[in-house]
Amino acid sequence: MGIGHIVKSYDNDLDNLKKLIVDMMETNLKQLNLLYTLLSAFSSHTQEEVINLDTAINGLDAKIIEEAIKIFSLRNPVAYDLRFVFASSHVSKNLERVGDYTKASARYAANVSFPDNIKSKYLEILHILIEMLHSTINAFVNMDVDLAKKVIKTDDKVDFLYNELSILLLQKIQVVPEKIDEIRAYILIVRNFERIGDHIATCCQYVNFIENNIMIYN
Amino acid sequence: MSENKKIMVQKVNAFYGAKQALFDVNLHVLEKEVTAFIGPSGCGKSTFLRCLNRMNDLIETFSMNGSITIDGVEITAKDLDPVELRMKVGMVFQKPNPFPKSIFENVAYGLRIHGLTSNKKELEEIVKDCLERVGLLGEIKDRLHDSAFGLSGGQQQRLCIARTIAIEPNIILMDEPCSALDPIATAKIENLIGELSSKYTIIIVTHSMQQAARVSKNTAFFHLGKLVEFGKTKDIFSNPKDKKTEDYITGRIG
Repeated sequence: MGIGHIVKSYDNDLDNLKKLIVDMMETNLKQLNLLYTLLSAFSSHTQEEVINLDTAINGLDAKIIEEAIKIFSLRNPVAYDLRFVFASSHVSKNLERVGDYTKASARYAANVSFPDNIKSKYLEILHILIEMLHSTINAFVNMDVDLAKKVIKTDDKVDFLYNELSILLLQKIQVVPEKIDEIRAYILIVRNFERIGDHIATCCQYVNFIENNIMIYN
Repeated sequence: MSENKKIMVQKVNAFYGAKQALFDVNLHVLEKEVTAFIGPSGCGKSTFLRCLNRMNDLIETFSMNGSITIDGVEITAKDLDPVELRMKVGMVFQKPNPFPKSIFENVAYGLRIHGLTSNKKELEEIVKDCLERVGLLGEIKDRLHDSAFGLSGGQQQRLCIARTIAIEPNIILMDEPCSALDPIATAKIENLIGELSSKYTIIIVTHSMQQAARVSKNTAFFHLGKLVEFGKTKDIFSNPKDKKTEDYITGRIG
């Protein structure tokens, strides 16, 4: 929105809510980067950092919901403001799930020893997810609908790589059934990646919703 | 749900002396629906509301042009009797204004002067029915012949609505009917507006955005004498088309 509210404290409330969302996205980004480091070379210290960051993300989610409820009850937002506050609470919930899936992936990572050819595929997907989230932050800060649409489109690539890797892993179970527990962990991690992609794309759908009152579904 | 256009307004301009208050207003009001007029003070919404029952005729410097029809009848015609018009288009004002008479007489008065009842029993039945319809009868049934000034503000406003509906208008104009009332009295009036809308076409001028959103089906936004946007209330308050509407309803311009 171009101009501020007559009541300046209303602007402060909305700015604060936006700042909390950006803080949460940046915490998610930090967590995903740490997961990348963890999958590149496992260390229990890094694993612990990824897991602990989820607690911080959950705290931010609670704070965002609290702020959104405060704005709903005290400001009675309408039109753009209503969409922004409504969308912020939904974005927060999606980011909270991203945190959960990242944490779960870090836990599974302790049970796997990736062969190089498989590891590179995981890191490729994770790199795409990190780029998606980075762009999502920019899209949300600037309410850049075009950038948000690009992120949504990028999720197709994550889905493609997930399907490709899933087929490969299922075939592997048939070849080496004795390694089923380890391969199961591989599958769960890549499944988490696919879900993270979906949640990041959903955050971008809300950017378009805020700006244009339309949700894009692909 | 009726989709009949009860009121049609075309190219209405209004003036107080040389000062133009309304500019080319085009609008239609659907029958048996609640339409809200919103906008900042001085935007012309009350002027426009008062054009609909020719209340502005009472202002010496006022003039207007354009067309306003109700059920196809041109109401701006010089030969149209404003008193007859106001029987069809009742009005409720910002501040409750009961007559200095008893509660009963406030409702009975219009029925008597317009000769709308043939005997005392019928008069009593209609008065009680009107008081019942505004939810007042149960509260004041033992005080029917006490002064209306003894009622609370909210009760007085409901009495004024009972007085309005007693003469069976088609349309009820409400000019900020809750601005002098507390939240409970406001809620009762809003509830009443909802109930009355099944029988009457209601137009409400309000400064409360939330009230417009709660009670109306259609909303018109006026700014500087112009009708900026008119549409379904749910669209106006969730996704207005015009930037000025958006800025006003979100509290960015006044």
